[in-house]
Amino acid sequence: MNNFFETRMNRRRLLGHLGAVGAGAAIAPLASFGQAQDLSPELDAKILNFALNLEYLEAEFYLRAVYGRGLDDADIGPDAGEVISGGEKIEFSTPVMQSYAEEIAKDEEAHVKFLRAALGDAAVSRPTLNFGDAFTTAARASGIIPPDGTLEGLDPEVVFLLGAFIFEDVGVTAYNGAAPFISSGDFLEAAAGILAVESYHAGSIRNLLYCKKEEKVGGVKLRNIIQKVSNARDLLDGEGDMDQGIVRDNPFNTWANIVPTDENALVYARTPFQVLNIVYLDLAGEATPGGFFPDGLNGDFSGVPSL
Amino acid sequence: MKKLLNKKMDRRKVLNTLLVAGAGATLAACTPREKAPGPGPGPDELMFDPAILNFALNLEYLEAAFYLAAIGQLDRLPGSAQVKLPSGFDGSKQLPFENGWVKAYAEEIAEDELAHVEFLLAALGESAAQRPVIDLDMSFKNAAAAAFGTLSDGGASLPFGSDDFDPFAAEVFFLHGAFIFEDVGVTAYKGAARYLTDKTLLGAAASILGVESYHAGEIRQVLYGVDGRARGDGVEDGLYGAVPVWNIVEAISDARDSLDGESDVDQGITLEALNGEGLRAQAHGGANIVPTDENGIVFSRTPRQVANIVFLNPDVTNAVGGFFPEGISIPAGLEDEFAALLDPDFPNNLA
Repeated sequence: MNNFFETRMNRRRLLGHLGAVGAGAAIAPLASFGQAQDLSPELDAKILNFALNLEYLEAEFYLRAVYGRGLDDADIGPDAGEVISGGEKIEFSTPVMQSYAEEIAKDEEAHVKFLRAALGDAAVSRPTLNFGDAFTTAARASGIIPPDGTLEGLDPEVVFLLGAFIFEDVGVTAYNGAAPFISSGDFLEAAAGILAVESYHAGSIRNLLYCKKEEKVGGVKLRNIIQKVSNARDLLDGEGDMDQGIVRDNPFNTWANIVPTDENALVYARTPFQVLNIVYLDLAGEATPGGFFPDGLNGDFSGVPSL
Repeated sequence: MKKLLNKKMDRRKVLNTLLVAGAGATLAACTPREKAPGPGPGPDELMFDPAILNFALNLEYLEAAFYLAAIGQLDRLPGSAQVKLPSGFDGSKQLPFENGWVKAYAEEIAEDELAHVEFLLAALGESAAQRPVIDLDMSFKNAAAAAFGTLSDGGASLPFGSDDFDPFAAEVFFLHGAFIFEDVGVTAYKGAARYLTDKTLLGAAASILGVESYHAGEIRQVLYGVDGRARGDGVEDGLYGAVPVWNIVEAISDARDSLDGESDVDQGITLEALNGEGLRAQAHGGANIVPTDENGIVFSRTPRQVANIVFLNPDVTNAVGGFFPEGISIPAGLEDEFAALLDPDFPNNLA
């Protein structure tokens, strides 16, 4: 009992300090969600179904790029939407690149299978996905190509890396934002594990882009293109600066920025609403279906914080 | 130990538990909404936040010391306890990087790890652990000797003995040193996350988990090769003789696996090794940048498993050694919580 009391005291002290520090980003996820309330198995299932929608997107993107095939019929649910345009198999420039892409594709496919198994009958089917138009829209919005431009003629491997770049960091911030709202310890541990995998992927993709950062694509250095994509994500997700490119310039040097973090070296957290605005490519910030999900996500997300 | 680990790693159990939760969600549609406790030890039953964060702080001190020393800025590490370094290296000059981008990466990771120390110090306030004595000299030498000191390839054994591994002597040594830490940090944060009761702290811990995972992915990929070819045979470095760079990685991974008990929660960076095809000197193929289980999910370690790795000792009763020659730093008043946390039966010892 003494121990328990002591721990309580420590906790209060600890929280007091956290509050005093303001520890900005640590508090931010909860602040933007509102206070944690009514954690429940039902909410867990909704959060996992939200994640499943994102995993469908990632898995279909990587599998098509790497193998020229999508998810198996057994892994998309009975009411699966179609996958519109884009998604041709890519000829990677080196076996090493091929190998990296294969690994990520398999991981994302495994996440779909895992979440579907975990959710059982509650799992949503694959929503309608759109790659071709969405990537073109994203590239235009980012200023990578002119307002009437297309991605044709750009190095497919670079386009692939840019697509991967778009998805991975967003996946990280989405899982990070959702973690405090999961009530089940097992769910939480699994979600933390997927968060970590997305972060390994993101670190790996940003690493590859960093090594190509001075190469020009359509006359523009890749590092500057990356910054445009990052700025676009930042614009889409609303107020605040929660996104970063792969370099930080100062007057004397160029610093690597493989990990996008706040001043406490914490990765950012996005609310489901912010994530939706990015994957819907909704510049109006109203989470109107579009972009990669022309018909919206599949599932009922009422009661999910921020939605 | 084995029972606990098997239980924690048992996929079917997790899936069954999750299925129950999923079914609950379906049922909820036609029953009044009620708060049901999650499966497993409910977060509200435990109160280990300060001990967990202080354990994490010890690990962050270690990582920050390593990276700050590598870039010649060890004097920025908070605290005053000794950091033991190889003779001739005092952490005030950066190691001899071969590539500007590896140096840039080391600088970024050093800043991140330093920020984690400062963040946890601020969050914990008066109950924060003092900086422990850290050994970055004999710890590495002993770890290297045990892990790969006797590796050989084609009859050519490594050109150095048990006293020679110095992570600050060359870029590739530094990368292998970094490899020792990053995946461990990931499994530590992932394993501990569910026991944090405070949701704000959980959010922070998840954020640090993310950062450590970015680092780990980055380091593993640099070791595998980022310039369109695998770093592969290691001949370009020559520092390991004929032994490939990735064989060293595999040996370190195996060493971590033997230190942390009977489970298999560690993987090297190639598919050959992962698939049990043995170590080959040349022409390895597939990459394994992310160490995962069959669900594509990274592994968890208990605090005890993590401790055994950083103590470089599989004995579950030991409390000092390896990178922490005088033990980890435990704030006054948290001794009992640390004892429970580091109990080999954690979390079953809490029942």
